[in-house]
Amino acid sequence: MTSAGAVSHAPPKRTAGQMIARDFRVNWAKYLIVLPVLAYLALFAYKPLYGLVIAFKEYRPTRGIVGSPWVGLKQFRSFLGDVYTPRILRNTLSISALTILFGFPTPILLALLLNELRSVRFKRVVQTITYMPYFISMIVAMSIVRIYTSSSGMFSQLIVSMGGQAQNLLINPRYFYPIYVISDLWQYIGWNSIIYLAALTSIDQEQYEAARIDGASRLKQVVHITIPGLAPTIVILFILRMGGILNVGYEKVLLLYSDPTYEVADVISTYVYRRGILGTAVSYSTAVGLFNSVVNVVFLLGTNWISRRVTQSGLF
Amino acid sequence: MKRRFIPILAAALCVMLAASPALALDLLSGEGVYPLSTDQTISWLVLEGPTVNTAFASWEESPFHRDLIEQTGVNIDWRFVPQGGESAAVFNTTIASGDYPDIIFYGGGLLTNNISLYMEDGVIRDLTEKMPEWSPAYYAFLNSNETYLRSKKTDDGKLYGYGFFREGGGWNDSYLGPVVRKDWLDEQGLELPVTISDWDNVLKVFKEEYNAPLSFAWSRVQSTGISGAFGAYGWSDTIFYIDADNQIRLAQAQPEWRDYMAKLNEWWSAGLIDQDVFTLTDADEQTKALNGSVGLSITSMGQLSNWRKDAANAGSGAEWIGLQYPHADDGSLAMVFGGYGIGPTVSVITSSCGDEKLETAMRLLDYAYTQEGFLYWNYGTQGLSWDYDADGNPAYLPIVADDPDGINDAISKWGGSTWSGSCIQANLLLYLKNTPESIAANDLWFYPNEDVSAKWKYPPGTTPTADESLEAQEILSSIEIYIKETAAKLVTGEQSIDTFDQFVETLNSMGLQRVVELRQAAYDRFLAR
Repeated sequence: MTSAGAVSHAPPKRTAGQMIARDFRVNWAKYLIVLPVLAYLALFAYKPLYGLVIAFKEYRPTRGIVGSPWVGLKQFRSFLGDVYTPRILRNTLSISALTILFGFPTPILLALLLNELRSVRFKRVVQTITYMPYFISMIVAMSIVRIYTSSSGMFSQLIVSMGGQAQNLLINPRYFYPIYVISDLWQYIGWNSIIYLAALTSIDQEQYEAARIDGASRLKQVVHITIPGLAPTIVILFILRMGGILNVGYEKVLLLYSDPTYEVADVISTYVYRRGILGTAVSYSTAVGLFNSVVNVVFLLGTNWISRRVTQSGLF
Repeated sequence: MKRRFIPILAAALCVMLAASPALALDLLSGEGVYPLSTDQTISWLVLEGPTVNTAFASWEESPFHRDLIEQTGVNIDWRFVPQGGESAAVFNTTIASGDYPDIIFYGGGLLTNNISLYMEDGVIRDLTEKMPEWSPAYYAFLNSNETYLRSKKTDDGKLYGYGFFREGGGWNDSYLGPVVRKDWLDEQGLELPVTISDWDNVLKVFKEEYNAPLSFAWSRVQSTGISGAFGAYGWSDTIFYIDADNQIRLAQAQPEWRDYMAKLNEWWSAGLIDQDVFTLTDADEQTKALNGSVGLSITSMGQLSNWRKDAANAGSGAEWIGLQYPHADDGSLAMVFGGYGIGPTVSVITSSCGDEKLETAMRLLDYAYTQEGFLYWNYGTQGLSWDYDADGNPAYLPIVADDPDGINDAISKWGGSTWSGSCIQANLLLYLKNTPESIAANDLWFYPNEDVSAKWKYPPGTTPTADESLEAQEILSSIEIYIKETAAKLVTGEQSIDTFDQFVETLNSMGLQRVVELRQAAYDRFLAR
């Protein structure tokens, strides 16, 4: 290549292949380092994508992915035509929106409050107590919820002591969302606040000092220094959270719902669980999963776009 | 029906049973055949039933699996679901891999609903031709009973697998039923309740005196509960039953079901049904029974034993006993929870097992249906885990009877028929492992109702075509949920009983008639076999 450069001052036109080849000669060691990661991604993130074709087939285990017959969009049409599809979409969006509405800002609030504490000891104790539910297995955590909400549980007894009727709160469709959201807060508020606490430590302490000298109250310091300092973290986490808007985990719903509450509690993942795992409709479940992912991507891109417009920051 | 008056002592029952000609099994002897002299290895994937007891790290330690090799002379390459794995997933991946074990034992719908498909695709071998020659004991056993034979062949008469049968017919299929606290009844001077009106009365008294409503673990009633007293055939699970004219009907679309729900709603509104029932598990219910917050319930014979044990340990004086299913006030009883004594599980031979190995595999599976194999699959090795008692009946030796893990668990270390298997489950095994009171309860749930315990039930072993399966599944997945939630709402009063007609209309608009047609077609072919 150097000989070409010596003849002409204009850089010679190179094809992409030549550029890569040259880059490889210079940086081969770096390529070597990246190779395992690329192999990992290719094998575990991209190769399985091929399996998505069964969403357009009628998969039969004996015939394999290739041998199963093509059925076009039949699975998607069947999903969108199902009487319960509007309902599970509505429930999924409701539960997801409610958990975002209440579950997203509260850890930020908790982090801000913890940040203002002067007693390190007290702060540690509060942190430990709020993290703890996160480490309880989902099954145990939900058994606790079920006991608390049963007719002889704490809340029902509270109602009785105020002159009400003993009742099982978990079978009442009206209470399902509150129970879901409140238990979600209990489980995750502490854990989710960790990342904000970490972000808080990166805020320059001199800014606070300067503000204090200028006479800013603690509240003013929070509003003008802490929150702007946290904003990038908040925005990124929010965009990521919106990208999972249709992901309501099936474990928790499965453990909490019962016949009387299907109406409000049945979500996409439990539906797929019943049809795909219990009913063994593999192709159908794959189609629903694909639909789910596409909607999620739309939300992710949409939120990112809005965020770029409004806050000039985003994921990409 | 002499048996109805048998004293509840288990020992007495066993003696009577052994002497009862109706239950005596007429099996061929495998003497002179086993152990086979072969050096062939047969791989056998067991997805449920006779798996390795959790007390053992591997099958090499498990007496049942180790000694079956010795008994049959066939070198078995045992395969199981890995720890934490799901049998359905293992089945799926095994089939998808194309590398099948020689024998697969499984009962999930993945296999049983798709027998025709797998035969068509050449995964499962057609055994019809060789069955009389290489599996004479099983062949003779199938031919001894019309229902057995019919349930284990395809619509075009092909034999494909080795099934699970209960020696006592439907007896243990009726393992669920009502139970009551006898001591409370006595305390209040009440008789055992017989009709629904009697139940009304007992429930009211129990509620007033003990604050104990009707309560049960949801899994124990969601199938049928006490629907027979109303002429209904189900509660919350979608149940297609066979009526007197061999027509398939959906239990929940009948007016009798509405009456059943209306009564439950009446009890619910009056506070006579526990408000927690929709979320209760067996463990929850056991606690309630121990705490004295339930007096009338519906549960299984195994749970009944637990409740009695708890009461004895706590010294609460609670005396739980089995109770006959309630009748309508005119004395009629349409059905009880039960079955034919034939399981859905089956051992099939795959195409991996070539012609050269087929005889070995078929003889290995046939062993369970010989006289010797029947004893081995149920009790283990004679002289090690069991021997004949003075009356000539098999009895467990102390190594099983006094096992620290309990006899129930110990039986599955030595035998393969505890839950299911490609074998015949001995009635005596069930008598030996259960308490006399639970046996008495099971007797009460089954013998007086023998006529109505199975004949309503859609039989196991129908073989819908692949397209029929898919179409029915698609419609049913919506119908099942709709029925579940409507049943719950009707009981809690969230939805008025008057909406029943609309409910049936909606079911029809969801494609109910089509499913009934599909089921009927598969059933008609089944009958025509």
